[in-house]
Amino acid sequence: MTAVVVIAEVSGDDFDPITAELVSAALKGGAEEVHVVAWGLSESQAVGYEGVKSILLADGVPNSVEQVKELVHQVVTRTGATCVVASFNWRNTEFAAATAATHGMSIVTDCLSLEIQPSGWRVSRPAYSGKVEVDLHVDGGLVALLRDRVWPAARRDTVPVVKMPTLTSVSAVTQVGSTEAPRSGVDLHSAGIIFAVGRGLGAEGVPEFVELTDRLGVSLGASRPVVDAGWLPHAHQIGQSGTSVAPRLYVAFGISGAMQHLVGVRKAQQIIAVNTDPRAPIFSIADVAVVADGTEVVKALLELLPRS
Amino acid sequence: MKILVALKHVGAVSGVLEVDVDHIDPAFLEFAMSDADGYAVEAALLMRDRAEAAEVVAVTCGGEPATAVVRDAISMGVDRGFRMSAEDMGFDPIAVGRVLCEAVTTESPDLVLMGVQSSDLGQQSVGPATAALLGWPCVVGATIVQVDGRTLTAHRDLEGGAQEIVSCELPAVVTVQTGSQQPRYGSFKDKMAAKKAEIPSHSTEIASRVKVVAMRPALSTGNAEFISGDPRSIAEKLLAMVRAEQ
Repeated sequence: MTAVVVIAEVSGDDFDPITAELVSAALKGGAEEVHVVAWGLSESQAVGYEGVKSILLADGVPNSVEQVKELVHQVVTRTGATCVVASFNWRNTEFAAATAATHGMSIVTDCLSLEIQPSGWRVSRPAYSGKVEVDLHVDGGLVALLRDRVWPAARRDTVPVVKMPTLTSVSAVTQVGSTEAPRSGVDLHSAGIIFAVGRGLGAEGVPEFVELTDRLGVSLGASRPVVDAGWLPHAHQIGQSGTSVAPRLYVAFGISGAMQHLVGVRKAQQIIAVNTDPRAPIFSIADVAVVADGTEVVKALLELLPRS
Repeated sequence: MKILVALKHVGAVSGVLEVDVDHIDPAFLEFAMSDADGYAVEAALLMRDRAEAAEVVAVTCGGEPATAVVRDAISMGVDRGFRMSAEDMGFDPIAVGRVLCEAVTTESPDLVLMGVQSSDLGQQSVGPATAALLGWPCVVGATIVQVDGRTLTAHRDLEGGAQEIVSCELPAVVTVQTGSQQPRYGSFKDKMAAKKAEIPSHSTEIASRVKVVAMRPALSTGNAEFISGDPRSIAEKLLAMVRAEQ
């Protein structure tokens, strides 16, 4: 009996839609028994999915990575699962790697496929900054963090809910302070149109790009290298360690598309990418691809938009 | 206080790409220290500069060519370095974590630092896995790391430019995010000296449980519609698309 545990993502008072994709990946991958682990929902809110055996509901909300690890330990022990599936995001990588290490499982992040094998699992993921896709054989148990929008959504269905024991572990890492985000007036969360600049435009290209976003009346975003280099403030950073965005239109200039950037822009309705390298990974998620020198295109746009 | 900095020798695909069933011909790869690991070395050297650390030791896991990153770290200023001789471990962060545990047993550091993720795979897993195996606290994605006595304090970026400051007792594992403290570069003289440095290697019995069975160029074009032309005509098309959404 192959049991797979799915770590649910919750938003508001329901499962986030990504949870339906995780369930579907587990079922299609060959799981005979799928259990969904969740927290932050009441028993009545925890409506499950077709094919799911049970929803294992945490007692309260885990207050640290240690407690998430403890919860996953509870459910892996209870179900005998040989695979734990979760969404590939910044928050999940820490507990996932620690869980895999503790349970003698392997970990693969950013999975694009998942399939059970006689002696383990077969998964595929990107390599070499997204320029290559590899198929991997994993011997034994696996913690798999999956890319979103790869699997179809499982259909909703009511399944039994089981309450898990109280979490007691205490984190060895404590928060001792925090600093507020500087008041930047930047609100990328609710922006309808974002023009984002990457390292490809160079330091000298940034002021013109800022001018362009001003004249167009669109929001200004940036990749992490641009922010690290000090060319723009952190508030503009988009991606896994910055802001995740969901605009109607996202236009990327000179951004090659590191996975950590792509994760933050996948929810855009339409993506246009301008890059000189036709193999740039950003094109893999773009609706419109422009192979051109971004600096030249910015200059041409500025000529079309005289200063008012 | 002794710091062990773990470094990954990563290959980046340069321009042309040919995939041969399950590997890329090294001729198509350019090797270097993973970006974030350079920031981990810098964070360690800053701690030594401030007299919070007495010694900084670099380690890498891999074949002989991987010693290049240890030499890079020595040219930046780490005191010495060594290599854990392990092959084909690149896709198995847990195995790398187990190898690092052996390095920790040999060196008995108070703090293990490494980049938050590798530039080639970005799995973000070796740090938390190593900490879990050692039973040490783990701080992920630090931009500033400081130690006072046995207490470690780290700054982490949160969304939108906010930061949190976290604290734990040593020994600990910290993964370092790229950030404002740009890695230093050694002088020509430092680089020449690093070339001559002795880099011992230690063998390990640990083997990878994650094997590559096939490899292919990614369909990097996806479903995109390609637009071409001179900058002016591209700009006109882009402007029309923006105006349609405004």
